[in-house]
Amino acid sequence: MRTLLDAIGHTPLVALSRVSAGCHVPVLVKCEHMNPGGSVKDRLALAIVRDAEARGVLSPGATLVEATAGNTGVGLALVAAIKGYSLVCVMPEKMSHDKRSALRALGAEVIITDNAPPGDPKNFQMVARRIAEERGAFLTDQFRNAANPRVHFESTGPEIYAQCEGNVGAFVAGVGTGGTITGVGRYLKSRDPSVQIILADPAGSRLAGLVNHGALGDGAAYLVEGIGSSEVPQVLDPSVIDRAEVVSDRESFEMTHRLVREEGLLVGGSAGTAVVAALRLARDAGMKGPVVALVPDGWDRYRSKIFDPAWMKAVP
Amino acid sequence: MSPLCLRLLALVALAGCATTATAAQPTRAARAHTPPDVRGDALALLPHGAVAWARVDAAALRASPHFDAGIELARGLGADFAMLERELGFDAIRSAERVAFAIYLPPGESAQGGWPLVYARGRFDREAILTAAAARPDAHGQRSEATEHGLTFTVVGNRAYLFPAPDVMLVMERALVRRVAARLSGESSRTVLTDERFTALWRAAGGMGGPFALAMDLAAMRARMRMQSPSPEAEALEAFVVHGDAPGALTAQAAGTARDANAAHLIVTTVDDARAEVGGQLPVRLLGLSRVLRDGIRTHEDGATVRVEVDATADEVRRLLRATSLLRELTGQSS
Repeated sequence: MRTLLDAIGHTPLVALSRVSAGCHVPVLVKCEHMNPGGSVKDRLALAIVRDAEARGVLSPGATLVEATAGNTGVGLALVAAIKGYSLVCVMPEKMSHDKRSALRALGAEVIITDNAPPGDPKNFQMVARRIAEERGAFLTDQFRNAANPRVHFESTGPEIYAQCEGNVGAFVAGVGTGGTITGVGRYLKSRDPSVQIILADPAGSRLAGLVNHGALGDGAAYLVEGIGSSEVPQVLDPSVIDRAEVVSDRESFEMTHRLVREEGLLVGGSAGTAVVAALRLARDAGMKGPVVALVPDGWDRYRSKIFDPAWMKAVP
Repeated sequence: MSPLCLRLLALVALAGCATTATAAQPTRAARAHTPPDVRGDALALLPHGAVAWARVDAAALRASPHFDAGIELARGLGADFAMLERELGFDAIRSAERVAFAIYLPPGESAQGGWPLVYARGRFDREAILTAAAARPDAHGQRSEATEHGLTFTVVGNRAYLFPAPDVMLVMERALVRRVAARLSGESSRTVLTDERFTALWRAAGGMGGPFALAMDLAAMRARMRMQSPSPEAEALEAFVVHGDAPGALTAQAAGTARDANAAHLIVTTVDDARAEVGGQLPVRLLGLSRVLRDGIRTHEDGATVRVEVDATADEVRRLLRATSLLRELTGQSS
């Protein structure tokens, strides 16, 4: 291994043993929280930077600007530190203080915006775009960058297929930018068109409506971080998704606690969302092969929320 | 069927010219957790479950007096050796001593194509092979490493490479890594040699001795690999094995399982009718090939099992290759 960047990817795929009781097929989790930066976004960060370098749009010492829910920022901060770039992260107020402090500790400049909807000048993505223009910096733009789904088509998807030795019944993931489910879904279907691609969507996100009924559903506030959306991210290809499973905040967080306590998986809230959806599929007698759920990140950024009993009491 | 699978089958077809009589015998399955010798019988390294597999003594192939004519004939029949070299990253025809390959079917219900696994022993430039692999369109220019059962594979796109000894390489579909690692580590003792599908056929064919051996489960391959059979008679054949030797003269023995006894009879009748018809033609008689067609090819049927034995003198093989080449030139056939 030449640098820590070589440790990105090739994450373990492990079978759930206790929470999967009653399932007809194995439920496997792709442990993306075991990337060096603690999330699946390490892959994306490295891919975006490598792509920009290959296109000649990044000069040594350049500044990267990213609108991030946190994990992409950590991934970019890690890549930027190793490659010698500066990083500015713009994130909405609702993101945990753990994520903010982690980014600052990694040397990133963190700018917090209001929890404004897309299109609002105060929305974190709009602010990031404006800062990149003002400073002449490189906007990494994970929501629009084609390198995002591509890295999952080229790395995450092939890893899952190989780790399952080609035997995949369904793949389950949430949508943040949509890059993971688009890239992995396209790859798995290219190898076996019968693989089901399932969106695990937080109750309150509008994407499940799009997948299941052809139009964005009604939106509402939800607490799970990093997944779900009120609009269709540009890199998301909804046509690759077969069905959506809607999961409530409480279901997600309770499953997250079970994953930690019963499976030893030190994961965040969106892992609970994916696993709840995966277990529903695996309990269906019609499922023909293992169900793979992607675990996006680790628990350390949510200790002040999901793992705080007082905070959990307030979850509806 | 992937280009690599097709090229491998072309290589096996060429191997009918193999020469030396290194009577290889089925290797006993290694005990569990006893790693096999990576420089021993290559077939003992190929995991159980392949729908087709072959072993070729490439060094013997090159020593054959018929090698050059065989290469030319194979080229004329459409074998693209340059493509084979690009696919594998080395010139297996010129550089390998031993080659073995297997094709596995992916488990997914609607998955198409086959997963190739190639073993080669000989002179290779590891870096050149990996560089060629990274240049393939589906490789995305990246290579990485994956470890299974303590073995480190180099992964390039959908392929994985393993170099367990300086002169040994295995290249495979990436999804086969776990299966291959389990076999090479000794955790799994099951190999293509212990595949019950072919046991009776090998017995009928008199073993698998000689520098060339091939086994194919045609029924399984047709079901999943979009193979086009050349004729209804070929469709009647479900599985077959063949092994041979040609240190100048050629001997080969094949055994196959037909769909049923009627199908077996159809296959035998077709072969016998064809050799009678061709053997009676004037050019064939003038070329001195009547004997091999009349007496050198012998067919047998026993229920659904078909056996074919071939023997030809070195001179007959030479004339047969020459005649085929001439016929191709005269008719302008490329396949």
